[in-house]
Amino acid sequence: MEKGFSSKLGAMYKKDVMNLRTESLLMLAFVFGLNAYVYYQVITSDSPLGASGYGVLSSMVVFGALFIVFIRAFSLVSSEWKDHTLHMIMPLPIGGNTIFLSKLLAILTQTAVVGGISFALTLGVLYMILELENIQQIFNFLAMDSGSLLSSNLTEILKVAIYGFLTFARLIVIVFFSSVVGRMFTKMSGFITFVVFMLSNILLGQIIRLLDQAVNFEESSRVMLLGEPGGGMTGSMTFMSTPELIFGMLITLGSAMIFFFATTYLYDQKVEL
Amino acid sequence: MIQFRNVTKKYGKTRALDDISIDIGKGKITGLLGPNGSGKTTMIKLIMDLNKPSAGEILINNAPISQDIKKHIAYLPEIDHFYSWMKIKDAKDFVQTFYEDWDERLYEELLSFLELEENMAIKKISKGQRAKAKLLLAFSRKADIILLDEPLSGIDIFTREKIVETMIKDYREVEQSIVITTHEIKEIEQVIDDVVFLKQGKIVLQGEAKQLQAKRNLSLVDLMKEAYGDGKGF
Repeated sequence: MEKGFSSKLGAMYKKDVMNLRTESLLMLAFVFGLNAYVYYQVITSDSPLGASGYGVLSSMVVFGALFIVFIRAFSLVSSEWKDHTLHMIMPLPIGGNTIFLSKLLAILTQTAVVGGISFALTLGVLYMILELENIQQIFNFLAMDSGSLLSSNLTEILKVAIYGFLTFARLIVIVFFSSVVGRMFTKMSGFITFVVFMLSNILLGQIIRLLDQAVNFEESSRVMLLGEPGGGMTGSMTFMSTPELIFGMLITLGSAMIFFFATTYLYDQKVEL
Repeated sequence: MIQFRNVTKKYGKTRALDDISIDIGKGKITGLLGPNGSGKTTMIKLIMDLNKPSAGEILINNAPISQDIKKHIAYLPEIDHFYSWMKIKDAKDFVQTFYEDWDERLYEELLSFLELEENMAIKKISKGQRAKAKLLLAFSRKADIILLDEPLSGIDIFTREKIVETMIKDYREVEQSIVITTHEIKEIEQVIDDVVFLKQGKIVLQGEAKQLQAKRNLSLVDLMKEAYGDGKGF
């Protein structure tokens, strides 16, 4: 009996997770080791780092882990060519949609697991260092520590986290798109991948800016997150209103889908071994 | 039936295949023979849709290759294509998910015949064992078409004959078509029905192997030497 789409996607997903397993474990080991070391320093010496410095350092470690995941997304595609494993994938009776959906899900799983565990470790260690009574106090502490750039409201932080996760997912899809375009050229494919990635982000940034202007949400300035095309940290940070968040999520999802289907089309129609 | 209709494949300025037209018969074992760079692997890749023709078309049962048609083709590449973390069982679990024609009983028999074990880590086994693992995956399916690109590469001469006899002859389904490229012509000579000799992307000789041999009273190796001018280019 023919197995369904979910079984095939499951097999591909398992394969991609296995491909990312070793580096995920290495990243987690690094994050755990660093947290343990800094915690030990804080409680055993008059380290100038202190608890607040620890909070900032740990946050940087979380972003560092996400950056490694982002860089790895490029090689997750190109390694299929380099390691000749594409000879196993291309003959399968599945299209690019299954292949790239499984890769995307595997990378997002890696992001959620590595990012989530890193963040939880940071909160846990801060909780112990500061001898706090509840989680909300940690967010208050982080908000003070980062010059009020972060809200102490947990709901607002969750909103930003969800939007950030979606934006990160779109960034990964653009990485796939750039890698597939790059692989269509036998010479300078790495350089072409980089150029396509940059141009795609610049173009997308311009389109989103125009859309934002057209909708014109009042009294709002979106928090620019990792990978927001054309974005950057601005002086006055407020969080998104709910309509703005929904609008932002729709734009992010829509643009991600356009890049995703462009990627699968190129893979199905143009890619060769 | 696999049909090539005026197929040309170019890599840059190089013509890997030059206006090839040929029918590969259903239920037959067809040998694609020729020196390095003659276009054998390109033909296999075009059938499997791993490469696209620069001109012309390839039809399988009168239809262009599609995902539905791919369900009925087993492909064994010359290159090692396994993921480094895979054990033989992982590779089997992965491949069988995608094909209805996977035969577990056949897999168990072949696993034993090829002296492989499911818990063998593929990156740690010898080149010959990896070649056997590829054969195992290709022949554990009851696919209508099996494409074998240098399947005996890396396997010692003592085992080759046994593999050809047992797998290609005994385990083959009656209506199964096999297309095979190889340099080990002596080993496959006895099982080949049709033969296609390629040189620089063109067909220089083709036909029923036994007929060609009888007509010229030559073995396949001698036929090939004749076709390529006493083996020049090998």
